[in-house]
Amino acid sequence: MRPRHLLFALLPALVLFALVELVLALLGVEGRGLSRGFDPTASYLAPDPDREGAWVTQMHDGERPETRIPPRDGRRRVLLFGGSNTAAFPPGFLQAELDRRRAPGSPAHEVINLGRAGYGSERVAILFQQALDLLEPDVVVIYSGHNEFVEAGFRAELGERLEGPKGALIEAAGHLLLFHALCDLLRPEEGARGERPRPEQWQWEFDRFAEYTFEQTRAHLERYRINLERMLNAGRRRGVEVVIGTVVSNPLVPPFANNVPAGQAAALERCVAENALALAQVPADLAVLFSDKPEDRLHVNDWRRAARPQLADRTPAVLRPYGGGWEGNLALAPDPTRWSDRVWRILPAWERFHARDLSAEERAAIERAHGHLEAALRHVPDHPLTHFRLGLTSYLLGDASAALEFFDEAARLDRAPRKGNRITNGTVRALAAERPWVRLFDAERLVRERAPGGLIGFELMEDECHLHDRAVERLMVDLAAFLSEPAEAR
Amino acid sequence: MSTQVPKRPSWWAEFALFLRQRPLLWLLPIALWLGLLAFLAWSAVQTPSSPYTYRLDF
Repeated sequence: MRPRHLLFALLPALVLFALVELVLALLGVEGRGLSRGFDPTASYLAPDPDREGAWVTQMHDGERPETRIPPRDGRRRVLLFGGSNTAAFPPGFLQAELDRRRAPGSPAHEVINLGRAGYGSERVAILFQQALDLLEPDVVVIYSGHNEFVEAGFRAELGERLEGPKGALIEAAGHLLLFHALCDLLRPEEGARGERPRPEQWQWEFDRFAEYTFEQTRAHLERYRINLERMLNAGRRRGVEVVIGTVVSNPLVPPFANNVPAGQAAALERCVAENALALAQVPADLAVLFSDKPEDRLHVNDWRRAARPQLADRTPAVLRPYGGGWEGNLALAPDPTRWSDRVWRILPAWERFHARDLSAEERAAIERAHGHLEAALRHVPDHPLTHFRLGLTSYLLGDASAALEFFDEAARLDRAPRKGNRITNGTVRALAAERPWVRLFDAERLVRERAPGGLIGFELMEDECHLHDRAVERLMVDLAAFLSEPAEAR
Repeated sequence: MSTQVPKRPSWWAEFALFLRQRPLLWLLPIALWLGLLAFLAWSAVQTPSSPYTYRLDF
């Protein structure tokens, strides 16, 4: 082919695609960006085309309806920020609770939930700044702290998907409007959710941090502190009421990453061996509680299966009563007909655990297990899973306060925590203490005060960090009471 | 016998002739370009916007 013919062959494609770009630009097609919200310039809010002065979120990717924010109408506007827990806060319920408490003559409330499942402080901080600029809130509530490693893992996944030649091509194609139009055309109706592996297969997710040392974990959580600080200071500059919450976690979920530095390999081997000896002592019907396998963890979806009426006749496990007017046992959990087989398999073990109805032989066996775990800890003093298991044995042997300390330490030492812990909640409390103008909603403390012995469990929680829906409503009552406190009472 | 040198067809005429006579040669880049973009777009939308997608139908 002569060079001239090569030009003739390519020219129609060049002209056609240039025209397509022009037409798409005239039609107002915009690129959505490929950063999945990590780019500080990603646009989380866009003017609502259907209503003058209103806004619509651009953050749910088809998985949930986008949130429409009407123009200000004189009500006290409260914005909620955070991950999936915040996303589950029912704005209508909270709004009604706030309005019920408002003083005569004071404005009504408008609660807007900007929580998004999987968001950690990196993306919450970007959304927060944009919402401050565009939505003119009176009050901002930040409830974030479970997702720092969830978000970090996802960011790593994005990097993996966008690395290599294909990733470079996608990045380059991102400059073309036709590419974005094709994305809109090809995007699955409910986002890419169908592509996700089941939660019980998430070992790969935990394995992302298999090389993390505890120092790296601490360094990563420093980012959390910086992001929170940015948000608090931005709220202050804007002159809004800034509320930050500690997050409620389930101490009865084992840590996710238990790595030790390579230099401690021999000590780790001895630690693991002692753990194995301990597990060999544990009665068979309690063994599942000592497991950290993904298939032995309860997940959100385990409580919300399609109802199976045949389960209505089965007797569910009996857990513990709660104080402070909160329903205990499993009264706040979804209906048992919706529980998965995994819930039915694991809850009886928790019933036995809380009842502590051990025979003399079983108690002796747990004492032996406890001894092995103490020996394991001497080999690797900061081994998260050993701390967790010592929490279980301490509780079974009757020492609930030691158990709570072990559980809290296990969560603190987790190299890739997927729930708030002493570090994150401690950060929240410290930042609030340094800033008198920040209001601290200490949700963890409020809930622990109601939990028997301060030990929160599956009565309230679905997994490591999600409250049952009805427990969320109880928390909203607390939050409404907190937000409604008159200034002079604070 | 004419000594007149045959006039070379204009650039546009040559281009038009090419379009008429060799449609596959200019349609192919369009198809390839569109196909590549569609493949990249499809790959891009397979990545969700958040790690959690709480499917309730497991």
